[in-house]
Amino acid sequence: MEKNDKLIKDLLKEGFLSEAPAGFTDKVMNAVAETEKGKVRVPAFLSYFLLITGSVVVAIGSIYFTNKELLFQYYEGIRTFFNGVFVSSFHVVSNSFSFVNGAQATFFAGIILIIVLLLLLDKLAFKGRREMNLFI
Amino acid sequence: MKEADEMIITRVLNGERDAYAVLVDRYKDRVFSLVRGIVKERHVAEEVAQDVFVKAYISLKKFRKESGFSTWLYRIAYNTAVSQTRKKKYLYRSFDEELEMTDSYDAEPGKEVEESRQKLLTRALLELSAEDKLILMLYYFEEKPVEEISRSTALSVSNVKVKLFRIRKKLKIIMERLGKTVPVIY
Repeated sequence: MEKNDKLIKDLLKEGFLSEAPAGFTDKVMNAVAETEKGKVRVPAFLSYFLLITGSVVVAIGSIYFTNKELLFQYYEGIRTFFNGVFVSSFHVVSNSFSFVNGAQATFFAGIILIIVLLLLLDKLAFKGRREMNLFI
Repeated sequence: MKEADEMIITRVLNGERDAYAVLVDRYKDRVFSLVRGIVKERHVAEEVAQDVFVKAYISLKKFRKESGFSTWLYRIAYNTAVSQTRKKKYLYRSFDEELEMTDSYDAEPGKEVEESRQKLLTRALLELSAEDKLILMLYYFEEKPVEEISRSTALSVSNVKVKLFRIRKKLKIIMERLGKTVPVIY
């Protein structure tokens, strides 16, 4: 820096710079903490669930448009399998509450239960990841 | 030894939110000074300056290390402060009002000449535009090269040099106009 620039800099330090108010840093960090709270975090397991579901839909769609016969051949088996998964996952509860039209009710209830379980598992897993400061 | 800005940013991005306080402490005075030079009102400047650091934190992932962190931060400060003056024009005091406020400044005995120079310099600085103040901050306090200032302000290198020349000339003229008996700086 030239000599004249240095003179200007020294004078500017007196005339231009002023101190930030007391407690400034604390206020900023509090505001930063507030912004973090406002963030909506998408649970990782839900993302994986959606990813898997989406992949299955795409796979089925691909098979349908390339080889319908193959799809129809295994359709009944696939339908029975998924239906069984959802129904059996809520089987105990549905018996306890004596659902009317039990099969249909337990099917949808099964979907909800699986999602709730995945969310709970994700919350536990996230807590573990945060404590280990992994932020995967 | 002071930890480099980039290392602190890496720590913040890795989840150490509290490390950001180091950056805030490091730059709070300069950011506040730059913002205050633009918005004038102290309490508004405090809010805007806080806003600047919050915005910088939120956008930290987008920070590219082509320029220094300070350059990037001052750019955010400049944009935020200028937006504020556009939103609330009534807060932008006139030059005469600012002069009246500086008149209440009392010099200590024995330091009258030096304090007088400071007061006049403060007055001179009030006349500079917001963009000039940003360039002042980057060139004189951060000692950034003209090329980096050019990238940060989206002005050409020659444009920045011309502005620096004009700032120096303006400071000299204003100080001579306001106080002829004050020793000329250069």
